[in-house]
Amino acid sequence: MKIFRWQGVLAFALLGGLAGAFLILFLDGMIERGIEKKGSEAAKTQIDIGSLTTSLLAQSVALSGIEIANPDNNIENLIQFEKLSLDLDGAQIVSRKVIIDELQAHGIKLNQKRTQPAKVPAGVESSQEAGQETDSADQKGLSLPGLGGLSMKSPEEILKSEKLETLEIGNRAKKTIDDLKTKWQKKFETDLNPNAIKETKQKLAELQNIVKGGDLTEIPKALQEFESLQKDIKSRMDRITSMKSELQKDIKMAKQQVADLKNLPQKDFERLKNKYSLSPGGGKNILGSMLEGPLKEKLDKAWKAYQLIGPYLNKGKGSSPAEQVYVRGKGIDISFSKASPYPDFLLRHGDLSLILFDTEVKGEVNDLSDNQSVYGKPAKLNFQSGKNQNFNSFALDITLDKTGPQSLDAIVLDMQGLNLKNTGQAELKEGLAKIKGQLTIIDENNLNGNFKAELDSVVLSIPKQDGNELANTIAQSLSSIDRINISVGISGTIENYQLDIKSNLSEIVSKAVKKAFAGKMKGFESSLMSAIQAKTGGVLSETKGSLSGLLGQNKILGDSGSAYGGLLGEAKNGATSKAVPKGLPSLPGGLKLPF
Amino acid sequence: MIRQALKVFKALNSNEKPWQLSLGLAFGGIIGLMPLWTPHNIVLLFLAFIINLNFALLLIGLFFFSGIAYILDPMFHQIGLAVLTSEGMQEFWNGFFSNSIFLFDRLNNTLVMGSLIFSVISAVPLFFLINFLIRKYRENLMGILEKIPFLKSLKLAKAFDTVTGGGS
Repeated sequence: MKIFRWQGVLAFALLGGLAGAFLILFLDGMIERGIEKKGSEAAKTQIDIGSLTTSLLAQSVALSGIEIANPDNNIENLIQFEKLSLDLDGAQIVSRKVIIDELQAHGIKLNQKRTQPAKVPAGVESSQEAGQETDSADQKGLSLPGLGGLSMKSPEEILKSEKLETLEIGNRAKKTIDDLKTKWQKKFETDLNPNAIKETKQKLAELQNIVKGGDLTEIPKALQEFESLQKDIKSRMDRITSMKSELQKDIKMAKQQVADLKNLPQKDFERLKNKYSLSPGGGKNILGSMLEGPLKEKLDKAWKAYQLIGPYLNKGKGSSPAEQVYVRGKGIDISFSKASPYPDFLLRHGDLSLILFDTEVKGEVNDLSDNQSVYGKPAKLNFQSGKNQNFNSFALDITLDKTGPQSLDAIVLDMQGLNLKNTGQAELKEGLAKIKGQLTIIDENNLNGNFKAELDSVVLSIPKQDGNELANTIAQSLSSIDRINISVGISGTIENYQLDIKSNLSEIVSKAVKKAFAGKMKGFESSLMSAIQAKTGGVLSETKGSLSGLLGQNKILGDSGSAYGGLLGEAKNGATSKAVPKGLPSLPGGLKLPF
Repeated sequence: MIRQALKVFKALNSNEKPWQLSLGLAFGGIIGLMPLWTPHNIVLLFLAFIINLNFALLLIGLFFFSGIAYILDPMFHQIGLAVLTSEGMQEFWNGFFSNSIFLFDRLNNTLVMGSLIFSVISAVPLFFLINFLIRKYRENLMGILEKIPFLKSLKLAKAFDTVTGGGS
């Protein structure tokens, strides 16, 4: 029995030959369909390739008509390329690494309309509605929106949704004063018992009668009681004096609270007027609504694209075996960076040609890799252009640096002499713009940036909006200006970022708003004030009533004080009115013994 | 299924040496336990073509052990992970994988490495065990089973199929 059957070599070669022929014939189609299917699934949006040709000998791939649909708008492409050709490092393909030595990308266009709506890839939840963004920010430009949100609310509506400081503090003050009133009422009941005066009066009368009666045996006792009664009255009077001083303090505090309430309705009025009336502050709101909305729309798109490509450029993080997730049937790939110091994907150099405002802008991309911690170099992308019909100069530099523990991505833009006529914004008839700015993104989330735009010799023509007085007035005021400065500061995180927009337009718009709404604003202000007064009037008068009640307590205390003062006088007078016979010792308080 | 059973039965009762049968099954086991589309499986297939082993048993082993592989998948991953991430072997692996052919072979994948180690190691005892069982079968059972009318008829039917070119 032979160990080897050499005819097996022939059979194997035959099978191998068939497989090779199959690959040569159908490889391009397989790769094309593979990219379209797997790429669409990975990017969660439709990817189309017009044609794909591979050259095994030249180790190159040429593609044309590449379209990547916008995941949020199925009738728009996020990016498309007319032609793309790649020269691959064949040796690295054996290591299952895609190393592109040279790339040529021509006819790169952003946000172009698709000829056919994109389909949602299988297994991806649809987040788009057909044609939902046909009126995207690109088309909207600097148009004045409906400004419906800027219509003035009625004072009644405002007061329904707003809390009034007058009411809050008024109620609080009323409660404090009522509490004080109750406290003093209780104190009067315990410390200032009205029966005590009666009892003192009665006792005094009794003592006076004893003295008048002239019964000498009773007199020493009566004198002692007089003395004790005087002490008692004096102590009560001292107590009343101390209570008076305490009450005065409380009254002072209560009066202050009531006095403070006086200015609160005006304060509430000012606050609500600034918030709801179309004052100069309102003008800023309008500018915000004009610029912030379209800007945010564009930025949100940019963040989405950034987050879409982010994971493919940062495989360095989360590539350790402990951080990778084991999938049944697939396992995990362990990377040995010392053995193969290449990332899985690397584009060493690429020449790009971007179509911007119908003008070709040349650019370069360098060291674009999926694992910068292995490759050790940040990815750099730049576009530059000299003078042409659309601008004097254009420079855009993008750096994606994920080599360190904290990623630091930056965009720097410098555009000089942009001809506004050719920007596709219907409202901008003439003008030149200078746009300069930079944005840094730390850890793929924290934003910090500032962009400045200076528009010169601007001619704006904003179409009239029927029945929108505000929009038309603003449009009219804008049509007379020729210089616009806009500064936009960006801060916060990608999920929650703030735009700080400053512009000379604020003042212009404010004036226009004032002019358009001067009459309405006056009426609004007076009715707002009336509504506030009506709503807070009750509390204010009730608080004043409570204060009067507290002041009444002061009278009670005064009366009691006077009553005791009178009694003390009577006690003194009553005792001294009776003559004391000669030879008898003097009695305290002028009383004289009758023996 | 019946055809496969008949093939096994036929192979067991054929004139082929026991090592040819058990080597076919062992090769099938190795290929079946590993992810199918790996370059070293092509090498194994090439070897299977030129070594005079039983191809029917290789195919049976391939299908049978592919099923087993699915069950043992987590274990293969753990073996591969332990071997590839072992501290003491990092220098060796860095040297090993500096040869890009091994990366092309995806040996840096936990599943590929784990299943390769398991299948190669288990193929050796499997080969000897099957070899032993075939010998024992031929010595003790083959004569008895051939007397069972049903199996005899199956054998006859197979022989008839072979002559007429039909199939079940």
